[in-house]
Amino acid sequence: MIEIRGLTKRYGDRTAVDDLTVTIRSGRVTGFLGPNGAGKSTTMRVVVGLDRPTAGTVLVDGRRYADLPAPLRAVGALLEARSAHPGRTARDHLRLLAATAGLPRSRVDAVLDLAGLTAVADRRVGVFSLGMGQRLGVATALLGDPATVVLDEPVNGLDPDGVLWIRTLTRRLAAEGRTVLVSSHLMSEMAVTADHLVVLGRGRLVADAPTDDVLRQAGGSSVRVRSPRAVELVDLLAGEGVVLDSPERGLVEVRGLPAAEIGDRAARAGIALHELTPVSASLEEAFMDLTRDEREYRTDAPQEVLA
Amino acid sequence: MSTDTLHPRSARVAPAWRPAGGGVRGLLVGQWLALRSLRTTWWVLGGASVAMVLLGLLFTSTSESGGPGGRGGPPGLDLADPVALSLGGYNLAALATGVLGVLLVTGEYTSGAVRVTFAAVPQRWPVLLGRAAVLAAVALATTTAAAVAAFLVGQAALGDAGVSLADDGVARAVLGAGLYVTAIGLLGSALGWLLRSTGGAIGTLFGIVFLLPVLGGLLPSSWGPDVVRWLPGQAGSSVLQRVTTADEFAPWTGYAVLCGYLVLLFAAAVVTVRRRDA
Repeated sequence: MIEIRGLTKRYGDRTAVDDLTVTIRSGRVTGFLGPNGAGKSTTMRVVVGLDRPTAGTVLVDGRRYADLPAPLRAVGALLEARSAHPGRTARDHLRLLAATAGLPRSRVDAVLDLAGLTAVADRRVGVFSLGMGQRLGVATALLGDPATVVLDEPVNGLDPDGVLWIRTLTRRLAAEGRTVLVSSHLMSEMAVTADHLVVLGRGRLVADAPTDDVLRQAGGSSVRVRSPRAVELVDLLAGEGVVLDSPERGLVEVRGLPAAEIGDRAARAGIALHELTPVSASLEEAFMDLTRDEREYRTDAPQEVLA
Repeated sequence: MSTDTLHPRSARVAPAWRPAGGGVRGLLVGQWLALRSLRTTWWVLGGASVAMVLLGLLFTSTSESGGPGGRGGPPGLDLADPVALSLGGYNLAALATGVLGVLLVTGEYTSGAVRVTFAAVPQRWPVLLGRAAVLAAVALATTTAAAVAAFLVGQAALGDAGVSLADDGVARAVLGAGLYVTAIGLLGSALGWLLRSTGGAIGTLFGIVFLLPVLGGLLPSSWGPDVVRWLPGQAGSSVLQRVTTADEFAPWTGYAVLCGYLVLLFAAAVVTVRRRDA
């Protein structure tokens, strides 16, 4: 479990993370979402003690990171695509970390195997492709068999095989009861991988909810209804909490009513329906909705610049 | 009931401090692997050792003609001193080892590997000291061997004019060459941690060890030498002089001064590295 309490991190006069309070629980995959510059990477760096918080605390399993007796065995992190010396072989990179953390050499072989790097283990990291570097990063993160796994953009640079691998791996790690925090800018990826979403915008918490709820709330799901008597249908469906929109003749988009209810009402009034399709908002839409006011780089000029 | 029985684990854990989970031994093994696994280490140390022997041979075998380049010989070498002639390659070896000390640190910064290391050892200072210890051990072993070889080869080339290791001050001077070169390697390491950039650290190292003594030579002779002998390179290299002049520190005093600078620089590096975001 990762407990983040009132975390603020400033670099000079730029605030990267602004009073963030959130708990990342074990046994599920938590997706860490946010536009570029939202503070995801900064938060992850603070979690593993690389950056010092300006204010607030981060506890991993109830301890400050620096107080963990064997950090690599408690928390494994992938923070950058390139994080091994290019002149070293993958095996040497892992071996020196294993020695430092007091881990048996068998762990090195185990994670090389897990990441599919056994065949290239004795090649220098400098000749690795981005995808292989990423796999080595994941192997490094899992070296200590940690209870908490933090992965920053793990699918970056991976081929479809690799993406599937990360998806299966993160699900499995969570099923084993570990705490798994994965950031991604690919929201569609998060929709299939993450059980729970933590959404950041400009360093602030925007959402902390199960993935399904985030999808339902933001943007919400709608129902597409096609009927030759669309005009009558609109009168029939109108009411409190119902939003109706007719983008073209004969088509109505309904928010706030389930498809079953729409079908029943139409049947009672004897109105024929040619289409009745529930449409769930994509995570992209949900995400854009959530972070509309929080995106750092917007295409419309902010007011203060114009003033 | 005592608090010990309430917290039996904390009571038992107390004496052995095990940083990062691997303890002191794990840390040193890790740092040894970090050093050993880079080809740079062996190219630089091997090159420095070979250069030291070959330059010693060159200086001793050409001493009768007044040294390389005719009269005057290599700068700073006393042509009448057979020990100094045979150890004449120490400056180049110090330069190379100093650069190695820098690269072993800044290479970790440019590749991002240092962040993985600091995540494994959040206290950070054990990494600085562990790396220094391993570098010192490896550099001392190779450059001392090179100094002994350079001395033996050089004395053989000098024939009757040569001296023996048993002669007064000779053994200390030969071992001093290895000690001095190792210390300059550590100086590079400390500068690497402090400055993080390869260029900046190498530039600073050259400035301190090679440029400052030259600039110091321009100072008035009434007080200039009093300043120059306090420079790290000047002070430290007195340990490899068979006979020191009145302007220089006594051999071990001079080397102690250099070690003092190293302690100060590493203390500054520990404070800086711990305070800084990695």
